[in-house]
Amino acid sequence: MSMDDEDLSRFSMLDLFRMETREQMRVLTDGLLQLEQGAADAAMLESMMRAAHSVKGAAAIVGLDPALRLAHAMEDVLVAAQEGRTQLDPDAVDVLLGAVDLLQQLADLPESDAGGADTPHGARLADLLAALAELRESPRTATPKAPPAPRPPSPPPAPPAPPAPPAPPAPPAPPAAPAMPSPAPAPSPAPAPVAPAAPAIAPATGSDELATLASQARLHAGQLRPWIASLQRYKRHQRGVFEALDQLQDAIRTMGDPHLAELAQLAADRAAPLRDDLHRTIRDAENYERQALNVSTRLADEVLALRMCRFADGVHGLPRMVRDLARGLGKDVRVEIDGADTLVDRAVLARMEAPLNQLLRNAVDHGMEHPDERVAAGKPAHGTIRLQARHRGGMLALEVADDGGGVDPERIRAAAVRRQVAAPAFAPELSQAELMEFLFLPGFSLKDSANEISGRGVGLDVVQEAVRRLNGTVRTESTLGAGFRTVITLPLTQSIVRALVVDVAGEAYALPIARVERVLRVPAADVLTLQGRQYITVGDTGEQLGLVAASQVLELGETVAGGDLALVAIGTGRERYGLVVDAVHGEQSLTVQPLEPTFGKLRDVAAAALLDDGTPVLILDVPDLVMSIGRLLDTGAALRLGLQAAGPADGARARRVLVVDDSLTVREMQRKLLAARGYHVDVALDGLDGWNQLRAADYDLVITDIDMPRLDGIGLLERIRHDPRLGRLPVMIVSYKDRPEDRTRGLEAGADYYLAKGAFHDATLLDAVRDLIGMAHGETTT
Amino acid sequence: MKHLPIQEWNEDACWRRIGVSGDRSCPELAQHVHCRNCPVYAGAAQGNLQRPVDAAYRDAWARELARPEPPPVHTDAAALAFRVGREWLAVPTALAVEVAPLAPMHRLPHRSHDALLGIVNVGGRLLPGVSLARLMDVDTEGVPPPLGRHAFARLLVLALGAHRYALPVDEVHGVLRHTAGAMRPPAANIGRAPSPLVAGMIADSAIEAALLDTAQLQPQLEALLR
Repeated sequence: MSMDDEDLSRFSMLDLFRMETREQMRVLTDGLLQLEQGAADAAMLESMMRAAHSVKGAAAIVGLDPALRLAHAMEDVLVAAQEGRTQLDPDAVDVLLGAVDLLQQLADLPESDAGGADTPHGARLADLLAALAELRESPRTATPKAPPAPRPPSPPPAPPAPPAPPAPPAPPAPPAAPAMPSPAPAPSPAPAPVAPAAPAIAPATGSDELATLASQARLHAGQLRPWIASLQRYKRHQRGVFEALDQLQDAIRTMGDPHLAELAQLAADRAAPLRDDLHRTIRDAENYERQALNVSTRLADEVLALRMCRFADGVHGLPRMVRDLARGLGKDVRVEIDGADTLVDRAVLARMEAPLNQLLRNAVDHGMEHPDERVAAGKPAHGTIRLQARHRGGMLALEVADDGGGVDPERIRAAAVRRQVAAPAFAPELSQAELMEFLFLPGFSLKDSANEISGRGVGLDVVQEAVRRLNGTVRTESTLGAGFRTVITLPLTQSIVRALVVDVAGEAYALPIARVERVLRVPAADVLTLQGRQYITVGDTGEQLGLVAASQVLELGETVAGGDLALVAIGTGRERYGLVVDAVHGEQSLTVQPLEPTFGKLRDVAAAALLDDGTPVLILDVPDLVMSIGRLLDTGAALRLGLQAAGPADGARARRVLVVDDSLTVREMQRKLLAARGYHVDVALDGLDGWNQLRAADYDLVITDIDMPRLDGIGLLERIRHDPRLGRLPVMIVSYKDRPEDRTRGLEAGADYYLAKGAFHDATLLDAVRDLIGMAHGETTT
Repeated sequence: MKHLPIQEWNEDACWRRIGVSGDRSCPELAQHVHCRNCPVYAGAAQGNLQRPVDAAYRDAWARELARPEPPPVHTDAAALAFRVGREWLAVPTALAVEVAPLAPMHRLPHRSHDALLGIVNVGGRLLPGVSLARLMDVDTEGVPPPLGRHAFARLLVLALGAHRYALPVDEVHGVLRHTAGAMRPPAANIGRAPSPLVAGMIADSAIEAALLDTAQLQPQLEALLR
């Protein structure tokens, strides 16, 4: 996707001019900001002068006269500054920045208006030209009060940068100005930010598709492994056949029958090459698998890298925004960007732009003191906001730190009590970290406090919301009088998400691991109810966790929990719930496929992905889900449903019994007896068969014989008792063995009931079953 | 050609009575194992190939071959025919982008009650799965499998507008070439259904199918997504 000649040929001259102007204006803006802070040196001035000169040349080629005159005037001022004939103070920088803005606007005018002299910008152009001329003519005497071009509130949103890493990072100083007759006005090697609005979106969808395909390729390569394993099994079988063949040949040799010996030799000769063939096939398959896995993994990594851009490319508009805002408030604030080369997912950066903007505005508006206050406090007159991006522990850490006044924790404490978000009794106990959390509450502000209009909390809830949407976390620290710091931790990419895969109503769902507080398995018996709502008490802390059935929240119908409940705790603070799922499968990295282009925003669902076996999985939108739960609980309806589903047994469902016996007669008799009473009965032929069925489905009772082939009743019972899921399943033994020691052995192994077949008749069996699990339907046992 | 006279086959041949097609009591079987190795069988074959043909047979063939070929049917359109339940339907081939093996659908929360079945993996891409049967009220209960051939259920992938859809179908017949002008209107009661999806009936020598109306289908499918 790099800019080669064919690509450039698609653009008109004016397009090229726009690209170049955008690039050069960035150089000028950066230079001017540094100049103002006294950090600019001769080289910087030189490159700024060249930038203005380049634009002048390019404007001449496209015949954009106003732009040419403006660029020329800027160049003159910069040359004058270079030669020391004029001093560029903040007011002069205002004028020059105004010229930068106007130049950009001139370049972005539609082609039809471009050449026209009487554009709506005509008046401002005249003013700025006059101001620039004044700057050059009369150094420092009269600071011209030119209108510092009203900066449009949204700086042309930083185009999410060039769509490819191969495009070299924006060249700091493009080669010197083009000779006027040069046919092409694009001397800079890589007009990096191609992005007159529209193309910024297209590459994103394209790379989504690429990421999908790349992860699919990796998945397929991974599926070669089981196939090779089956070849290995085949090899073992083959070895067995060869051994048998050898034995056969030996036996025939000892017999001495020449005809048989000849046939045996023929068989051996024909079989001989098979061994090597298989060896070769396995070796080739392994090589192929290794290569396929290697290539597809690299492909997937490269596709991911395509989505990355330099941190600086995403935030280059911010320093200017801060500068203008600070000047408007009579403050002096500088932005330092740390980690400009840190690679960041373009989609993440685009969605962090607004929150970062908000944080910087907060810092300038509320955090920073006026210069005289700062000096009085013994700090440098100019404030500094440090914007830092780093990779830390597989996450992206963004930090916005100012050296302003900070926030007084006691004022948060007071506001929290006043706004009734913290009980007065608890308020004094709250730690500083806990107090800072209040700043993220929607609408929480310190505004009402005595004679001050500071509102440090304003917008922080928006920041937190944006960060949470990206599965990240945000926290703040403050030292009163020394500054305020916000640390945002985000996953490196939104294309791959670490997620906990669970089953809900028989289908796979995933919860981003950052959203999962903990995973629990509790016996159904531990579930308590209060006002008809279910909850459990969590181990050591004694915290009470409300239960909600995932299948109810998602409207997927009823599910019935077995003996144990699998819980995933989600949400924070007061909005914490234990989501009851069918089963928890563990953690997995999923390549995200957005569903929004197809379905719009789906309730409770963030995106989809594919599991290793190719089945779809839906990634839940946990904040959305928590809200859904809250809403449903408020209406009361879902609660009742959730209660039923999460309960240990469901009235509508028939109790399921598994009969394990190797005698067809006994099996059928028990089956018919129980089925006639409404129980749902399955049969198994022996212990092993029974064990497999038990693991595949949920049963309420097992009735088993003792003497059976493969796995006997005692063995089956021991397996059941040692299994975490089945451990509490009632088991009844029905056996011919009716000696007391047999009975003891059965009960010791964990049977709940021991019935001798000798004493067996219909009523005893049915009574015993009813005693153990109740009637086929309903709760009552009478 | 099916009406042409064929010479009567010797129903009383030995291989039908005592050979491999009969009760296998022929003593020759001990030596030849199968009738095809037996000289009697070979002789019968020679006799069959060299038998004289009678005049009636020759005349029938002469008449058949003298008949002019029917003019070739002019076809200007093609549709992919498939079966849902008992109903044969078709879509213009330009719409059908892929026929994929059936794959499990994943239901979508809060969306379980309409023709939208969920999402399904088609070649690594997740597509919305839509039940034509539910969309068109096709009865799929108790449909017996077709006789004499294997029917394979498939996912038919349609590209309509900006989206692709995966439709589970019971069987894909193949391309049906037809004449656009010769399309017959559907029965009156079908045309007056609340949301008529059928544009008309099309047929070739092998099959007749109801061609779906793209202009009606697209908005209905799009409505399912929202």
